[in-house]
Amino acid sequence: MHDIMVVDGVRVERHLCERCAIREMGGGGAGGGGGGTIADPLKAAAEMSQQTVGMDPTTPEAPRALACGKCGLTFNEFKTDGKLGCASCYEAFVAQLGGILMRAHEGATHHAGKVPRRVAASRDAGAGRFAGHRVSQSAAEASSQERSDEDERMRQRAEIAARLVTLRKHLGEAVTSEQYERAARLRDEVRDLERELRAVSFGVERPETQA
Amino acid sequence: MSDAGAPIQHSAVQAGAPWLRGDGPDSDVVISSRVRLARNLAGFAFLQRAKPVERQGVFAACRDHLTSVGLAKQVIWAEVHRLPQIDRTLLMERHLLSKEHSKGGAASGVDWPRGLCVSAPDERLSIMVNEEDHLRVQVLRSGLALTDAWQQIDAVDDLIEAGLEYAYSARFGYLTACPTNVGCALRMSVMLHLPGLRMTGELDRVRRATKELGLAVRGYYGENSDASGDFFQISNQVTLGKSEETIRRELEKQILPQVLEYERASRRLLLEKRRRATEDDIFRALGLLRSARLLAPEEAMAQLSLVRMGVLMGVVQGLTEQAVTQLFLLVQPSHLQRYLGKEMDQQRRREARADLVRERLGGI
Repeated sequence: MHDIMVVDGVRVERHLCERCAIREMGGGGAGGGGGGTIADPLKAAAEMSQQTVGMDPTTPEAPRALACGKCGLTFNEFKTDGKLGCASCYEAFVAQLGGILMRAHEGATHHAGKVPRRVAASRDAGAGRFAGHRVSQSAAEASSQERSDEDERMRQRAEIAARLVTLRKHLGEAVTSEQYERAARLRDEVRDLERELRAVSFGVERPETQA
Repeated sequence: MSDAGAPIQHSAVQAGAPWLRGDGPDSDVVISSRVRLARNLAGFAFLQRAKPVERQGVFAACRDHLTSVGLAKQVIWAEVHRLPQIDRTLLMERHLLSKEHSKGGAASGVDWPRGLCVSAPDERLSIMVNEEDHLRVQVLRSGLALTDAWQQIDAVDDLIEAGLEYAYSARFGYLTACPTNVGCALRMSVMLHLPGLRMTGELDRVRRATKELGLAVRGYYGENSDASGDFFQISNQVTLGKSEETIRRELEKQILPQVLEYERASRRLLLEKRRRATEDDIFRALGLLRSARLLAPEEAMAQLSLVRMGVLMGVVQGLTEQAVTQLFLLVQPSHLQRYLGKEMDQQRRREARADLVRERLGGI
C-alpha cells in the first residue's frame, strides 16, 4: 500500500505491504489526507481520478475478546496477519473493518459492480425478470471488434449456465413448497439444459489429472 | 529429463508463451494484459482458517467443476502440491502460478492440496485452487487487451458460478480473505516495457505519478519483485466501491495512453537527440549477447531489453521483435532446463543460457 501523510506540515510517503498496512490501520483512527504533487505528464489523469484518501475517524477500539462466532478468529489475530477467517468475519468485525476498508479503498464503504448470478436470480425472481440479462447486455455494449468462435461459444455457455442457475433455484423452491409436479417438470428442463451445455461445449476434452 | 506428465509439454516450452507473442495491440510498449478475480466458496472457511477436510473439500469440488464445465476447448489440470519443483517454477515463469501457490505450506511441514487449471494451448485462462482465496481466476493476453480479457473472465466467472456458490455480501461484494481485495475482487494489470523512459531518466517520475494515482507499480514477477529488464506492472489497488468497468476505464483510458505516449516520445527523443549514444548502448547489448560464454538471467534480461527496443526502433535489422521477446522467457532457469531437456546447476545454466542466446541471435 502506498500511504501519504502530512505530519506537522511535512509530507511523509510510505510504502507498506498489505500486512503492515492492515496492522497499522486496525489500531485506531490515525490517518492522513491525500495530497502531494503529481508529475506533469500524468497531471491530467491525476485530476480526473485522484480522490483524497479517506480518513478513518471512526474505527472503534476492538474489545480484546472480539471474535467471529462462525470460525472463531479473533480480531487481534486478524490484525497480526491481515487475513480474515471466513465470510462471517466481515459481519462479526463490521464496526472495525469499516475504517480499514475506507483507508484501503479510497473511502469506499460499499460494493459496486458485478453481482453473482445466484443473487441476481433471487432478486429478479420477484420482479419476474430473467437473470441472464447482464451477459446479453454486456455483449451488446461490447465493441464492434470481431470475436473468435471460441469467445462466442464461451458466451453461449455462460448464457446456458445462467439459465441453469435460475432453473435450479426454481427447482429447489418447488421441492421445498412440495409442488412435486412442477419440480418434475423443472428437473427435466434442468437435464435438457445440462445436455445443451455439454453439446455447446463439444470438443471439450476431459483433462487427465496430472500427478 | 523427461517431461512426460508435466503440465506444460516440451513443444509448448519451445514455442514460448502465447502472451509474449507481441501480436496484441500496442505491443511495442505493452507486453501483456492480465485480469484476475478472487473468489471464495460459500460455506467453507477461507483457506488460512480452513481445516484439512475443508481444504480437501474445496479442492475436490473445484477440480470436478472446473474440469467438466467447458471453460475452454481443452483444459489442463495439475495438482500443484505434487508437481516437481522444476514444473512449478516453469509455471511461475509463464505467469500461470503465483509464488505463494507454488510453495504452499511445505516449508512449515503442513502442506495442503492445491490445483491449477489452464486452458490449452492458448494458456489465456488459468485458475488457482486453494491459493490465498479458494479460487484465483486469471486471464492473460498479449498487448493491451483489457476489454477482451475482462469479457473472457466475466464469462468464465459465470460458468464457475453455475456449479459453485460464491461467498458474497450485498454490502461488501465478493468476500476475500484479505480485505484489501474485497468488493469486485478484481485486479487488472498491464506489463509495460519502458526502456526509453529509463534511458531518458524519466522513469522515476512516471513511477511516482502512477503511484500517486492510487495504482500499484511492481516488477516482472509481481509483488516484491524487481523491474528486471525494464519491465513494470501497473495495476489497480482499489477493489471496493468501483465497478469492473470503472477500473478498466481508469486504467485503459485515463492513465495508460499517457504512459504509452511518454515512452514512445522518449524513444523518439533518443533517436533524434542522442542517436549515436543510443545505438552504442543497443549494439553493445547485442554484441554482449552474441559473444558471452556465461550469462545470468538478470544480465540477459537487461541486455535483451535494449535489443528489443533497438528492433522496434528499426536500429537493429535482421531480428524480429518476437524472437527477442520470447528469449525473455527461455532464459529463465526452468524454461532453459526444459527447453534443453536436462537438469543443470547454476553454473551449467549460465553456460547453456549463453549458448542458447548466441545461437538464437546469430552470435559468434
